[in-house]
Amino acid sequence: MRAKLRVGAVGAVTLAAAGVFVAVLVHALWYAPEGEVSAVAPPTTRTATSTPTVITSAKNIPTRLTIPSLGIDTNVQDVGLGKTGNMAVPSNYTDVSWYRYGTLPGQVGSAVIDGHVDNGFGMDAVFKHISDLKPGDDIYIKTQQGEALHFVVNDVETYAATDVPLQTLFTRNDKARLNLITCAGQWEPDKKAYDHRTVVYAVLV
Amino acid sequence: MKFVRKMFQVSTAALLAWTVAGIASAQTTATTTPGVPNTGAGGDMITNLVMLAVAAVVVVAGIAYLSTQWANS
Repeated sequence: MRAKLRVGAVGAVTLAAAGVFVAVLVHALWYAPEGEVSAVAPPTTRTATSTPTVITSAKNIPTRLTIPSLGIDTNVQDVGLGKTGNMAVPSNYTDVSWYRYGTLPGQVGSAVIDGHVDNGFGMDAVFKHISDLKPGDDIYIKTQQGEALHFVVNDVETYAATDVPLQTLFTRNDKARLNLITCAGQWEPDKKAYDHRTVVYAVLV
Repeated sequence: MKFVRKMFQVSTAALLAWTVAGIASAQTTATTTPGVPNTGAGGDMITNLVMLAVAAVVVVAGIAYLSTQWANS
């Protein structure tokens, strides 16, 4: 009787350990969703000079991002706000995500797309090399409508995470802009985040 | 008594002003832009590897024990 109990307990522990193994592997390599805040009103009111963005049709949303010089051709998810009020991130390490409460790519304003720099094992993710982009490099967005938008990089900057110019990143409204952002710098264990961000600024041509 | 009444009036006015200012402040400082996204996970590498290794050891040991028991029964 005691032996049967022991076998049962060992079986349960083995199964639990197998579950942990699979969960860690999947989370570190493929699937890492960030909980989004759904009950928060989107920040549609920008500055006094901005034009509120109204997404009139789901057909206008971006579906694909291509950066030929880096060999990137990837799916675009749409995200809102994370639990801490930050822009949320894609649910995996190969897709990128567009900030749905901001500007649509191709419209006057700043459309923002983020992507991971690495996965849970430190392996390269989709935006690992965006700091290698140079002014003049091409970026293409394909919309759900089938429209292809051509942007050209005009600046690449790396900032301390606390010094990223959020107004410039999210709400500059002089042209049709596309801004890409990812992590950079050193890992801060207490914050479980990198201490810098790289931003690529591009404009529609 | 007059002094107490005066104090109460002043306090009420101050409380009202503070409340109005608070509401106004809350309205004008409402979030208009999100914070920067957290787009890295590589710093968790050691933790993830340790968890994987421990889980793997437990699974292998468990399977070995269960196999032995099964063979003996």
